[in-house]
Amino acid sequence: MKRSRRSVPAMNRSRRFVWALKRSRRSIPAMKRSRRSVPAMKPSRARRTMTVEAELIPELPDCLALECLLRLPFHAILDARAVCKRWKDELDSPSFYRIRRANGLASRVVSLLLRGKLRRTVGKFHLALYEPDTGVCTMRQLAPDRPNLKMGSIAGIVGRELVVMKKRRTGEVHFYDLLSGAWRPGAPNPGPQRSLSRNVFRGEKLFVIGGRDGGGKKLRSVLVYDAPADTWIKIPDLEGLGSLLDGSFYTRFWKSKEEYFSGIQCCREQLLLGDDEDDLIFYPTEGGREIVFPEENLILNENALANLRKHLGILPNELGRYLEYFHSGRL
Amino acid sequence: MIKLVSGDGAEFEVEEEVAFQSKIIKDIVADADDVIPLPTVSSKVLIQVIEYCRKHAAVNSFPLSPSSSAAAAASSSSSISYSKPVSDPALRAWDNEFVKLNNSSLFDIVIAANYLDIEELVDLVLETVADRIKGKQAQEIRRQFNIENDFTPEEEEALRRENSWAFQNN
Repeated sequence: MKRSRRSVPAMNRSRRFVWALKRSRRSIPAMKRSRRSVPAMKPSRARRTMTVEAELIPELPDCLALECLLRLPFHAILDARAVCKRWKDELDSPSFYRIRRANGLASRVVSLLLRGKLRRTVGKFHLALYEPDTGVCTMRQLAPDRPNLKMGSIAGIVGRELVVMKKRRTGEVHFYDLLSGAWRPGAPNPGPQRSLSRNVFRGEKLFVIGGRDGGGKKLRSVLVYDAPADTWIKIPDLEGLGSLLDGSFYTRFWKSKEEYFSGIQCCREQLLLGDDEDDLIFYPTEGGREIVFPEENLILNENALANLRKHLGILPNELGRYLEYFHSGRL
Repeated sequence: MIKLVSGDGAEFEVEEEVAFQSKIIKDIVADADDVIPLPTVSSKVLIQVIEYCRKHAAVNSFPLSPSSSAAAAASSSSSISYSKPVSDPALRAWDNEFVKLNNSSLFDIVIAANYLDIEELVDLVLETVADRIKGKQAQEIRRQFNIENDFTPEEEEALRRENSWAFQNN
């Protein structure tokens, strides 16, 4: 697993630092920078002004302690949340996962939803979280209020949550908190109900592209769901987009023009693929002993699968029978 | 030779390539025989940091075979790249021995390394601390790092409920 380097903070840091050094020539000033916080004076560190609050790790500056936490694999985060309030605050915050991802420190997590009685547990529905890089498998029995997911539902990881859209006409969105195990519904899909749409997760946005309406009429519109903002937006017709391109349109919903245009490009490509939805769904091929996760190019090979089966206590070739839904992403 | 002066006044003479493992020293050295005061670094910590830099400087400047040196020169013409992962297995083994220290010594080293901008050393220590956190229950982590449990019994119970239906194995 190769990790990309922090580039922005490092650059920023040295530039700021060199400036300080030039003034004092020979002696290096005492440390007052933080490794991570790019805009040095940002008030987001407000909690630091509350001097009563404990350090993340005693004797270690918070900026360095945070770097340690950022390097934890996912399964260790589950335990680390229970250490103290500050750790929990840090590990539960969406920005923690954003920084992890931006710096290439997020670990690969495969989530598998399993239906059926497993040997070692009581319930009938389980979510197994498997980290291919460490081989650790964490499994949870799911509460009965879980939404009824099916193979072909589409999902992405946003922050610490798994965002899932059911492949139904209503297109409901649900969030599953991977740390606490709680489900919450997303904003309702504004409709109209559509079938056979192509659904794609890009970045933190979910695109519901084309498909057919209740009467079987082909749709050329796109629904986009912004997961962090919990908002839907409708792009009426991919052909007539020129009219939408005033400044306010980007800033409300899109981070940049580039993000918007690449999203539109992706939608157009998806529309060209036509009605046949099967080519987007990847089934586990137990015969070939591989499950392919297209978005991460992750292949669970025979070893990893055997490892996983051992954890779950199921026999070879049984995984396909239990598996209701799977997703691979980074967290 | 460059002279480094620790916070408690001890002087250490080191070769340029050793001192230049610290980007910040590399940036400020003007003359060959500079004296650089490091007021926040104690001599105990500075000795350890210099030991690390000496080892890494030696490995990094190890003469390459003629065929590979041309390729290396093409890829890293400017200077040593600090961001490359330590790939030499012998050096990695040495690093693993180097970090076999108690937490508070490690913290002193990482604070000094961060101050001197020795990125490889910072990463090495941070990874080590992360390794000491993972695979442990909350209670063990608290004990190891001397962290106070500030959850109320109710909050602890809620957390336990969130995690009680999870099991882990590896």
